[in-house]
Amino acid sequence: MATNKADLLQGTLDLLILKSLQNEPMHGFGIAVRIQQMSQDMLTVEQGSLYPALYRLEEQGWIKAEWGVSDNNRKAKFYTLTPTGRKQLQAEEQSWANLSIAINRVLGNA
Amino acid sequence: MQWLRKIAALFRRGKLDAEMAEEMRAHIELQTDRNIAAGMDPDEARYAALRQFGNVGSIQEQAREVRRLRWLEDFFQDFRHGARLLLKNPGFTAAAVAVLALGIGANTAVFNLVHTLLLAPATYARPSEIFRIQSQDVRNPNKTRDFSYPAYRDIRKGNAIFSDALASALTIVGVGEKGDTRRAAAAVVSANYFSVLGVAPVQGRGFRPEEEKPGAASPVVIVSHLFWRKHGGDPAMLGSTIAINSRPFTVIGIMPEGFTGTTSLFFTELWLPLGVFDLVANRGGAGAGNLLADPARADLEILGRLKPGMTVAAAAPALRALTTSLTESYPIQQKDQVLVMAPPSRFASLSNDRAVAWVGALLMGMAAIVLLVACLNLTNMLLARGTARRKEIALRLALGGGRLRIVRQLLTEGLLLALLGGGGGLLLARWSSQLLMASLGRMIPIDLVLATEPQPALYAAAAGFCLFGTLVFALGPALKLSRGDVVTHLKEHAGEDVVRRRWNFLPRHPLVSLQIALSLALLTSAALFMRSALAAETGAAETGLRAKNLFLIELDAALGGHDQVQAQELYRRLGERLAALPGVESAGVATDVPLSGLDFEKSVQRAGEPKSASSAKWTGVGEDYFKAAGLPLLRGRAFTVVEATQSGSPPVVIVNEELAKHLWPEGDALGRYLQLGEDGTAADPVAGDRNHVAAAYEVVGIVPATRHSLFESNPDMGFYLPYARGFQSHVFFHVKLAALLPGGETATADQLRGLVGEVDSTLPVLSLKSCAEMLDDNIQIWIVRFGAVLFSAFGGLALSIAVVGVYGVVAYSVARRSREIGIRMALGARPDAVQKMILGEGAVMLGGGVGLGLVLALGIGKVVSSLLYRVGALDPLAFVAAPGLLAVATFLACWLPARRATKVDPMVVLRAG
Repeated sequence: MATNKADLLQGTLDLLILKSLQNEPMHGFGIAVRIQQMSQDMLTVEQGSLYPALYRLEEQGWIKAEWGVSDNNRKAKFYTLTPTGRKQLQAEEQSWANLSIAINRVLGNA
Repeated sequence: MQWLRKIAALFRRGKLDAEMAEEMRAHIELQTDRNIAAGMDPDEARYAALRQFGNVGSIQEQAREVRRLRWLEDFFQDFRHGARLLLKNPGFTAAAVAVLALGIGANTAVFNLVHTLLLAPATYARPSEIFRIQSQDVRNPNKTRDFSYPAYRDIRKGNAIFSDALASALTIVGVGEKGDTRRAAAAVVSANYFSVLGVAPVQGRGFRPEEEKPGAASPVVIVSHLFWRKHGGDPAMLGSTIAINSRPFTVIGIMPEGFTGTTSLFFTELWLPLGVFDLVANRGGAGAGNLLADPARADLEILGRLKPGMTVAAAAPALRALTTSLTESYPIQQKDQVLVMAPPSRFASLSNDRAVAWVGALLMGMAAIVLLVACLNLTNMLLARGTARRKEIALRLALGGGRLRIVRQLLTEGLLLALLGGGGGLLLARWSSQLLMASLGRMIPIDLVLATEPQPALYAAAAGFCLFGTLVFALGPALKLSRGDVVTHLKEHAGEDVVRRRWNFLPRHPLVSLQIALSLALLTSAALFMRSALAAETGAAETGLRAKNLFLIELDAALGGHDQVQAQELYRRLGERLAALPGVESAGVATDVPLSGLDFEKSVQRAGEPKSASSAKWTGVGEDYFKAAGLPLLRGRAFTVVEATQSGSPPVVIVNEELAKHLWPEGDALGRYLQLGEDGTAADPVAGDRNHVAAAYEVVGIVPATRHSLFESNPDMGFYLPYARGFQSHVFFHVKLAALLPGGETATADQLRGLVGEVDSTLPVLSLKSCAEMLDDNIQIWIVRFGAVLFSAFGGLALSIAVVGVYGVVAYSVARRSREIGIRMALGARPDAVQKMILGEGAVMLGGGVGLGLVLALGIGKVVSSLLYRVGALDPLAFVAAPGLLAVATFLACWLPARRATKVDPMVVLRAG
């Protein structure tokens, strides 16, 4: 539980959401769980940030939403990465990599 | 595109919100399932899931922010809120909308007029390239004239300025058969007219070059879209024949909708080729030979389209070269003449449009004042109402509502009012434009094109006035009301008048004073114009003719297809029959009547003395004219029958006193000789003019001067030619009766009309009126009256709006101050003292307004003085009547609420507090 939303860099949450959707469509709860798992519980996503971010990404046309049924038979809204979303993910991954190299250099870690 | 989606989302808001709630519920259920799987019991699992999720409402709100257009949504919310408020106060709403509708309506109507006259784009292609060439008198630059057909040919061929130039002459023709003849404006034009203007017929063809040649009497006509529609809009009209001046013409083309030729006030309905000029032009001397080929004429207006890249400055040397070559070709006509170039006039007769532009600007200014008064009034109403809402606003501010948000809401309410007012204004504008057209239409026999249907420009103007109005009347109160001293407003009695005023001697309501001032300015100009109209009525009666029992029959034999010889014979026979009618004292023909607006001018000189030449107005008259018109012969005799009917008889002339004094100041004019010179003006020359240049006319009589124009200060110099020498096909029969026939004016007119029909059934009677009626329908009087009506309407509007405003403000103030008044009365103030206090405050308001208003009125009086008829800008009557009327109305508006103040019962009011 090291991070709260204030500590997340602007735009990082978008990247995490896109990344978590890379392989399969998922509902909001699933995304939150996936991010937590992938970060090995170092990151939790607050719902107050998650849903506005999802709607924003949908507005941008990077993901799209469809109603479906979850594994345990609950009706839920599933989000899918669109082709432009996929491109956006690549671009953001690249710029994140560049940024982290740069920051590491500044901190003298590289 | 994103905002489009957002706007779409706005309309699906309910559905989207439901979906979002559903999604979040799913989230919480999924979390609950997971918690149960982790070993919690169901209730605990659900509670934990809810806790983990956080505040659902606030998250939904955050998510919503992403999706929506905040300002637009707020706007709709404000709009609904505003509409509800307006519906709750129907009285206030009705008053506000009515006031605004009057203000916006006046502005839109005036804008419509000004737009049509001055601003609407010409109906032909690229108007900025079109210029008019005229010939200017070197000795008198105010005198310009147009050209003959041969001169047009030379100008068209020999100029380096225009890519091409057209010639056109406006005329009035009779359309239809016999009794059904109506008059229409026609343009007789060169074959390239349509190609130069860049407009082609939508159906049929244009004119061919051979149809424009002199003598080519090829009877073809191209009609306007409106003409086509008026005659049934039948596609079969192409190729059919219509009767023009009783001759059959084949319709070969129909022009596109909206094309009105080169003038903007009235439609040209018909276009005819120059080749038929002699048949239809209705110029003096019709039938006297080939007018079109005559180089002495000046009938054709020449318009040219500039060559690509040519400018007015660059055209100057080419214009000089053209002047030189034209003077070589026409040494007589072009002597002392120079060619000038200017943008074409939008009106048929004015050589420049500046006077009209000035009047237009004045009208717009007056209308703007009405709108301003209306806006000030609304500002007051909103302020008064807003004071009652202070508590509500303070509450909203206290609860964290942004000031901007509150201002925006108040502005939206204002906009709503303005839109309602604007809608009403458009209706009013449409109605008043129709009224204007109906009134003008009575005056002018041809079609006027003042669009009464709202056009895009009109909508734009109305919308603009609405926006302007909103800003003016709603912004101030909105800013003032939202300036929250929250605590004070919440504490005090809602709506009480607690404004601390630093300058007590100033009017309590400066906006009301300003309204009064502006209204007074308009009222005073209304009074000036009304005085002017009354003076004009008197002025119009002073024509020099004896109007009692005098009837005028307006005829034009040319419209019935008669040439000069036939027309003279026809008029001679008609004169005899009229004179033989029982009750008729005498009947005489004349080519003009006083104040007709027609001006036939010629230069006259003492025989053999070219230096004495000056311009005078002439009229061709029959032998009995002077007797019938009641114009006494001061010296000498009237024309004889032979002189009046035979153009070969010895040349004689009758002059008016002014001309006699001018030519022979030292002695008697009778028996002297004068010569008629070349006609340099645009007016029509006399038949066979050039043959008579040398002929000396003997002065056989002297008559008093008559007035040709309402606006002339002194009677013009004028003279009379025997009808045979001064022929015009367009005449006025003057019929003098001993007394009206039994049945009055209508019966008399009917009998006269019947007689004309008996003499020649093909002869259209253009008008048949008593002399008094004729003068009453005069266009110049109409203009003066129109000014009076318009200004009275403006003044009346402003006055009533201001009085409503005064009443509203005083009544409201009394209502709000009932506590204060109650206390005063409880402490011993007598009712009449209270009444005096309220009236006194009204008087201060009125005094301030009248003071400022008189200053404004003086300014406006100076500006409009040139439009006034025999009334000074400082007319004492106007300057007493207008403030008097205003003061009485305002006093009443104060007195009613003041009386109510005395009815305040201290006990009731103080307990209510």
